[in-house]
Amino acid sequence: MARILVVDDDNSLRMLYERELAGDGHHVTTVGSGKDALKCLESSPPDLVVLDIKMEGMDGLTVLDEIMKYDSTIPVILNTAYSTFKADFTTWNADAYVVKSSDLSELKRAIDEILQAR
Amino acid sequence: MGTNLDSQAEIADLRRRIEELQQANHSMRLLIEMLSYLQAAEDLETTLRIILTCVTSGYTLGFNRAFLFLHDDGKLTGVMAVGPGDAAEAGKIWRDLEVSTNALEDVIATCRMGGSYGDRHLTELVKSIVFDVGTNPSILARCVSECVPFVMEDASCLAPGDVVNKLEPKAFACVPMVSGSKAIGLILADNNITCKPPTEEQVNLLKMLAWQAGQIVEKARYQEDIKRRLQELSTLNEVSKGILSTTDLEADLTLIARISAQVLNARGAVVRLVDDGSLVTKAVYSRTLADVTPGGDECADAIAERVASEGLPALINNAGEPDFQPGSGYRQNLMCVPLSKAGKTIGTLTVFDKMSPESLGDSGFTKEDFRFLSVLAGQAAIAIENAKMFERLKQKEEHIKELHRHLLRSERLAALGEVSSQVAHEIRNPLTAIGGFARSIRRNMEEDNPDAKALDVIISETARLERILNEQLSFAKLSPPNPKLEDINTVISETLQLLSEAIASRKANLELDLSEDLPHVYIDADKMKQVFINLMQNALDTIDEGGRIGIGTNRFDRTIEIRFANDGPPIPKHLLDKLFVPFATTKAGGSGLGLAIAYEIVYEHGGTIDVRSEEGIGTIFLITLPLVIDGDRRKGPVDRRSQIRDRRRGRMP
Repeated sequence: MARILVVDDDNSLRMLYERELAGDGHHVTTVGSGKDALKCLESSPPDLVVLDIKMEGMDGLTVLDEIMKYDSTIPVILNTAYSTFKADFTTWNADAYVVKSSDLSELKRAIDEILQAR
Repeated sequence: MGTNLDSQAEIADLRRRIEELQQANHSMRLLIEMLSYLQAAEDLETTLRIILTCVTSGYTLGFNRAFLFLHDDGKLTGVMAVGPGDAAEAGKIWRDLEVSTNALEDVIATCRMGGSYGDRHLTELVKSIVFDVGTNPSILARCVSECVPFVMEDASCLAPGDVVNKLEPKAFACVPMVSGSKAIGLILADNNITCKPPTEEQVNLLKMLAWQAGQIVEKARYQEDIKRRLQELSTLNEVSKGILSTTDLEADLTLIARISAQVLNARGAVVRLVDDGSLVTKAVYSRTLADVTPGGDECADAIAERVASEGLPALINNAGEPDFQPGSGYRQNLMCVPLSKAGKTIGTLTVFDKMSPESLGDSGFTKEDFRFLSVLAGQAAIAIENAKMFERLKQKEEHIKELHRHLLRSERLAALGEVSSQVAHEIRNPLTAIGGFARSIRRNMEEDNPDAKALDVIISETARLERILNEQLSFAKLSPPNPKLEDINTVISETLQLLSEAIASRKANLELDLSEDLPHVYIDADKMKQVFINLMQNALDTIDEGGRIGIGTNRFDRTIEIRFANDGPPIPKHLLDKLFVPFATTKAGGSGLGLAIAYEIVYEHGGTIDVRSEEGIGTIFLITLPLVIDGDRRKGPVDRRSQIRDRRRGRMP
């Protein structure tokens, strides 16, 4: 049971993650932009962030940077349609990098591993 | 009285001496007059004509006829003659001369305008006399080789075989023309018409004239030579500019033929080139239409063949060449020189039928013509090689253009790939949502729900779309590997974990045979995982439900080997060869890229991938990867992502 913040500008995916992760017993908050995500950090600090990269406005890598500045102990999983960012060293601050897939088992496994390690 | 007698004798003696002196004085004046005309002569031909005119003019030496021979290179050659053709002509000429006041001046003026009929006739006659001084016993040969004059009052003293008999000389003198210490020629003067033996005065004057003429002729020849060389140089310069400026081989060859013929005043020229080992006629130029007709002259062909094979030039003037019989009425004489480049004969250049001016008769090609053609051939060979090189260059350029077109196509393909990768990414989000919800609903659904099957279709179809998307993207990308030292068994386990759901749904029997003492290999784990996933997915698609999939690893001296085997039906033989070619063996529902990507990645890692597929055995994919030796400097860094993360968490690695 953890508080998970999902940041994604795709409404359908927010719905999917909320449903699936809540189904696993987590407390899920979803936001559609980087700005809202940063507001959320203060109002209700999460145990883990699932962060999209390509977003309108502030992109995921900038959000990641801001999260690290705010509290570098918050684990972040980058969840994106692109595998190419993997080589980008700014993504190395994240705890995991999972390419989006309708099969959510890899994402869930990453979440479990990180939460267990804490 | 004795005194008187004595003085009478003295007076007679004095008179004689005075007469002698007057005679000598007259001779000197004549000689000076003749020399002044000779010095003013503008070229060799005029010089020679004036000499001969002086010898025959009644005002000066008064011989009936005069012949001039030049001695060069051990050969004595008849060059020119002046005199009447017969007694009738002689009478006419002499009557004409009697009315002139200054005979020499008038005669020289007329001689400049060209010779009479007799002159032409005699010149032709004397020109037929050419012989080697060393081997011919003629009196002419002795005259030049011994440098002594001969005076013969009666031609009957001549040996019957002497070539000089051709001229039917009567009462003649022959004197050498000397320059330096050698005879550069001789003058033969005779009284063929009057048959009077030459007088002492005539002979003396002839000797003096010949002596002076020797030097003047030699000077004129030098000047002539220099003039000719200058002219050759400028001609050659023009020729070179002409033929070197063309780069079209065919045009070049035609130009070479035309210029050769024109410059050498020949009737035509032929360029033959060695083509595939045999000599082929490539260009013909002729001033006569008949020569251009194919078939030509077998004899000229044979000569060209000989020149090409021996690499030596040939100068053949009809006379005295037994192996040259002119063909169908033309090609009386010809020159053929090899065209060679770096010692290799690339062809021949033939020039035929010298077109001599009427006055000189048919003299054929001279040594100078021959030499000039050889120099021309050098230029021609360079021009031909240039043109050939240019043609090859043109072909190369065509090839490069073709490559360029290919490149453009590839670039377009790459651009297309870029666009499709954009589209692919756009598709991934909705696809994730569709498949994700379907899975979510399906998980919470009872197995006997009638909608379950429908959801399964949605799930498997989105999974397939995602797989195609992944392959498309990774093929468009195919970035260079980012290798690190990895344990291949771990990569395999991770792959199997990723595919656990698919393996379970196919109820596949996994048989693992992983070697325990496997050294780490230098690979890009993500890319290698892609290879394994592709091979596993193929196997899963191939086997029947509950079929077997075997995975094994093995260590060898310098390589490790990874096997993926399955017991599905074998791959058709005709597909085996092109199994790794993109889109070659697209199976229903596949992207056609899976194995091509696997091949690319393994290849990038310096490894190989092979396949064996047989009925009853199944299919085995065999990957061989090179081992890195301990301490290899390519040893990659440990995963920086985890290092940075650990440091952030305050944990030291």
